[in-house]
Amino acid sequence: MKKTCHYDHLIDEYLLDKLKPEDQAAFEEHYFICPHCFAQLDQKSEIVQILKKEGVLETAGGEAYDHAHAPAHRPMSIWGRLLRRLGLKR
Amino acid sequence: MIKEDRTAPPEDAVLQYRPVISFRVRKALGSSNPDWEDVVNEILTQAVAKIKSGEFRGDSSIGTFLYTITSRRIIDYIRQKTRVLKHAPEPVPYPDPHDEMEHRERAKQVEQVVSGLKPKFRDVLYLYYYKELSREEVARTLDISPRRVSERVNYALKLIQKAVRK
Repeated sequence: MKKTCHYDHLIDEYLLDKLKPEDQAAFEEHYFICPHCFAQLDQKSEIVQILKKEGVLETAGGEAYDHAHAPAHRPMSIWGRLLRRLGLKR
Repeated sequence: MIKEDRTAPPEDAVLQYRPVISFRVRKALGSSNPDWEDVVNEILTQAVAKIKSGEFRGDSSIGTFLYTITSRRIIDYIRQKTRVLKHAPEPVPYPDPHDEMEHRERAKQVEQVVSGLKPKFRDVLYLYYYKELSREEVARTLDISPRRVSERVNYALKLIQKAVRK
């Protein structure tokens, strides 16, 4: 089995449902004929599903963004900046 | 995994694709939908019948042929379901206890690896997979390059994959 494929980069976006419909269809057709991509997809799919479960990353990640852990040159936490970027916080 | 052997009986050739077809069907129907297995079996039966009747002439690869049958069956299923759902409630899914146990075991392994990761790796996983930000958005949020985001995601995933390798 080949070790890489030029469709590799679509695996994550496919699993997270971020592909445009036409790219999604093309990738679905592709993994029916590409054992490399299917093997990657199959394994990653379960991992992503686990990572998306409440508590696996959410708590750990949340804590990691405390001010105490943030580098000194960052006045606002990651969440603060993220919310600001999304227009939810000034 | 999938090697085409034109001399093998069609059942053998088609059955090699069961994992791919199952994956595609579960992705489309939702993995907790109890109907997925029936849909997969219908697709396999239909594919074997088409090969036997000479409808598959080998113009495309068998993978592409099965992809087409799978996609059509999924569309039919969703159409049917949409009609039925207007009248009946959704059935409760019945997870396979053995699969469930294996999944829980792997989930535990993933959680262990994640909890041992340095914050810089965990943060990237959190933003990319949990919050579903794009690679570029994660890069901007963390003040690192998109390339660095990929490196951190790949590094963390490699550790996780190593821990859960079946």
